[in-house]
Amino acid sequence: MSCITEAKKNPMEAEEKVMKSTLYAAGLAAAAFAASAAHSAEIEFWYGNTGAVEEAIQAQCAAFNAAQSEHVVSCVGQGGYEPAMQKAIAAYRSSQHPVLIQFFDAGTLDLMLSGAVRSVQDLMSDVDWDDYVVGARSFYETSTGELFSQPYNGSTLIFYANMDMLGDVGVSEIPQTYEDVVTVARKLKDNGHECPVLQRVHPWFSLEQFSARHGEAIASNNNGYGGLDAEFTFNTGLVATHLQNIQSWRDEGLFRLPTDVAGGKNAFVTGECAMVENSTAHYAAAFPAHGDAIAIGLPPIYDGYQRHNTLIGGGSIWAMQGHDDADYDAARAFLNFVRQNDQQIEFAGRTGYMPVTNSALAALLASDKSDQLEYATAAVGVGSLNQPGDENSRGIRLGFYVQFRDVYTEEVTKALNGEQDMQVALDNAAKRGDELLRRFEKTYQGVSLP
Amino acid sequence: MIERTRTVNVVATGIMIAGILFILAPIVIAFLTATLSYEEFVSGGGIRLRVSDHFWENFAHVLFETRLPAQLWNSVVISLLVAFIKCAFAFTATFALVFYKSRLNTVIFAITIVTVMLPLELIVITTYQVVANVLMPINWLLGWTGLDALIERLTGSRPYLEYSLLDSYIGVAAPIATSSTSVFIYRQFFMSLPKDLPRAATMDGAGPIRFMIDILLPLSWTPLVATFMFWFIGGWTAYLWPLIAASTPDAQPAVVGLARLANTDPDRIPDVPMLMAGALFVSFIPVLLIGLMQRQIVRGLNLSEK
Amino acid sequence: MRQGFYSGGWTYTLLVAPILILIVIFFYIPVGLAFFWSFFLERPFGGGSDFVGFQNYARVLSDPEFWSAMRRTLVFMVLAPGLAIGISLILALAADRGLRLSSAARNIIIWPKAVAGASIGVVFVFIFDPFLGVFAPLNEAFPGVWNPRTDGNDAFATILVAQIWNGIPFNFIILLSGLQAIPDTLTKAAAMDGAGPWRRIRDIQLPLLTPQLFLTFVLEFVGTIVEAFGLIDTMTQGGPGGATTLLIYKIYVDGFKAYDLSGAATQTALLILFVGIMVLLQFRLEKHVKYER
Repeated sequence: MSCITEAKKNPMEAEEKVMKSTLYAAGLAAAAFAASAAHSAEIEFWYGNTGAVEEAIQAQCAAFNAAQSEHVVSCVGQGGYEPAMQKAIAAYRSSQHPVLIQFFDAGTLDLMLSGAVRSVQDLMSDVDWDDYVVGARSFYETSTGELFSQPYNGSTLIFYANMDMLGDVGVSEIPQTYEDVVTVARKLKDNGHECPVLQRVHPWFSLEQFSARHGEAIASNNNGYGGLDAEFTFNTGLVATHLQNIQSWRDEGLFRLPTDVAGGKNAFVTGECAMVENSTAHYAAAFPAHGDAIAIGLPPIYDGYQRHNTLIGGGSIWAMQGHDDADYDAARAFLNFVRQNDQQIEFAGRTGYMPVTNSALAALLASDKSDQLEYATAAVGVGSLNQPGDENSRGIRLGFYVQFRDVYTEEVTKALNGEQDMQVALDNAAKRGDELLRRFEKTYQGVSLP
Repeated sequence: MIERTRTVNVVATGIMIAGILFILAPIVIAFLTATLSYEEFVSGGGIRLRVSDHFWENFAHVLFETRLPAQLWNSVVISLLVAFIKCAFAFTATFALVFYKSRLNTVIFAITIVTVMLPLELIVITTYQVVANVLMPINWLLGWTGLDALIERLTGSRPYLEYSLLDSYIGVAAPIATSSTSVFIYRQFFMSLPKDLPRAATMDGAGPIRFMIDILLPLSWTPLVATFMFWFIGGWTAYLWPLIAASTPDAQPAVVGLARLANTDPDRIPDVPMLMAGALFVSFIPVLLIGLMQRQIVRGLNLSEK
Repeated sequence: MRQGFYSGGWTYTLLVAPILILIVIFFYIPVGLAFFWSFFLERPFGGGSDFVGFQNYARVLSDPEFWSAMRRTLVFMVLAPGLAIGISLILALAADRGLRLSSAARNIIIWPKAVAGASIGVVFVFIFDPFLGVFAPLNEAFPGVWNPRTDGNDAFATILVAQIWNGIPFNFIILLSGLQAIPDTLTKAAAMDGAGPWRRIRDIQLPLLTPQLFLTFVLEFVGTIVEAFGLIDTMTQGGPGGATTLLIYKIYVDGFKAYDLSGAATQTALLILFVGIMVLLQFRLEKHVKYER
């Protein structure tokens, strides 16, 4: 495939080289180029992150290329998860795709069914994949337990409280259950606090992570792990009760939505709100604002429910089909490299993401870094991902899920704005979601879910 | 009579003042906000009608800590390409349509004019696929004609051509440049010229290409300059297509870069003063252009006479 | 069309070839591909593409979301050009009186034409912020009166105002040019006859301005589709609750965020048909426009 990488670098010369065949790409190229290339290769890794995370990825690539001389990985930023996926789709259709690509959690099913990727467990059978933390592993594995992509930049949901504010009303412990959260919120409100709890509407907060840690399904077939004929069920479960609670708590002045407060979704950072459920990555913004006043804990659950793992957010690395052995050797070397404990710890420190293997977490906790600010969320976050899982807390395996997230947000927002009843909103979201699932099923007719 | 005219004039002046204020207000607010520091903005709780002294700080941030300056250069190149393609291609084609006898004239004119009615924004989904591999049509052609099978038999491999223009200047510019409004404008202009022009040129021994370059081009300077600037601004302000065709920050034009900048860091209150400085930064070149050249543009686009 | 002078095969071909190649590759093939895909269920990564006839159309046309996006698109396409042209007309009539402020108005009011929709969005989203923007004091006095983040109508209004701000300049310039081209003698004569300013506007200026009004309407109609995307993407992302999801934005989200290529292509095809029909209707209207002076 070296002709392709060259083509990308120098489009002017590429015109002469574009005459190539798909067959040639699959097999003959291997023979033609492998001879000169031995087992070394130059491959591309596409990623979507920008900003500080992008810098960390580039640093990791540079470290990999410096650490060994056999392979070269060039890491290409695509400016966002969605553009990266879109580019990969277009590139795959004209067989110019990279060997490795990072993609975000919600696109897992699209990639699994695409036929364009091969599982990392198949690519590297000798790795101890069980070292990956429960919530990270289960999200990216098939129903039969084969890990499809290597978890890379992992985050999850935790609970934040501003203990200065909670201390004003005599509370010294971060609440663990919704019942406790509401009790504390009432105290804050009676004390004149305008925004005791900030609640995000996006389904990652109010649906996916909520259902997972309560061990509730959002769709049949174990959230789609059992097959493409799944149907949404969240509208009749605990989620419905929870959203109705949120609505009445909001009416009571205990909960606020980002749209109700000046700071929007950052109202915890700005000091308007006392408590919030948010991603582990939020800590990087919250700590500088409030320092030691911040306490973090596992996200609240309802009394009487067994706590399950939360789901992993962020992205994972996928290996794409249609490359030759030398390329996959390079891919293996790179995936092994980024899995190393010190690489994971370094990456987590630079980005605010968490280590994703148990051994990396253990190494971190044993080191003198564990009490540094950059790693404050690692123990709680991984602790949440490592709670006992069940078949409903593995992950989400539902078609056109990105579209469904928009549908859910739209309907629930309407209900919260008083335009429709909450139950009607959830029923509508489930109904529209089911239509998406049926169309997805039809698009992938004859393809079985791995 | 005099009295009534005065009343009318007072009303007219009032209307104009209101209009100017409406146009200027957002610009003034953007400028005032750009003079605040981030801390002043966050603690002050929003719009304040006073000038603070942090404008250069914010401006320096835009200049040295964002990619906007490099993206401004991308905008310049892309806009120049758009303007050049739109003017040059339309000029030669319109010359042919007006000064050549051909049965194809009407058909070609109709084909080009349809592009004016359907803007690129409507067809981005499939344009993306085409730009991702511009040689795709040739593959189809090979497939339909059966040539690919023939080549496969001869060489042992089936030909598949590929060439992606994503993230390149020409890939961003070319689809924007398809809208052929220029043909319409130049055609009107050419038809207003004396009919005997080409005949006179022929008597002087000039062929059609000579006539186009030596006579028609200088005559058309006014509409050419006007349309060039107008399409330059059009290329500069394009958003949806560059947003998807150029995904890497290095290839994006400034307008896309600014919109991306607005949500780079979701975990804190956006740095609105810096964003306002950025908005002024990405807009000053085309605004200056239209402010200085508006008379030429209006005259050249032939809007005043009809 | 008047008769050309030159004849000749290959120079003619060379002259028209560049533009034809350009628009075939980057315009006609994409349009054709949209119609083609609208009859298939297309998998994003390829490898499976089933012909489904009109099923995609049946599905899109029975989807209430499509229709509400279409309805919002229609409302927007009536309101935005209507208001932008109406306001521009009033401004142009005022500026046409040749007052001291006229040339200032002429020079300033054209500026927004050079500002990209997305840049306008970045500024306007802050100006209309319920807590930080110009209406923040209003919200303090009457909490919840103005909140485009939760109220769909407020959000729609912010997009509309931004679109009008962007749309006024060009219309203003076209209409003002048109007004200034009307011979002074006509209006003076009418004034002598005792016709007041309002009468002169109605009986002389407006009828003679019909070609320009028609031109602004055609341009603004297409422009609205184009500019609105940048505004929506930077100001509301289609929300809250889908209240600002115009069809152009829905197509983008379906195609580029949800990998629903067939659905996006089908809606593209429908939108092309819709715009095509509207433009044809406009040109039928043009037959009633008086061009003679």
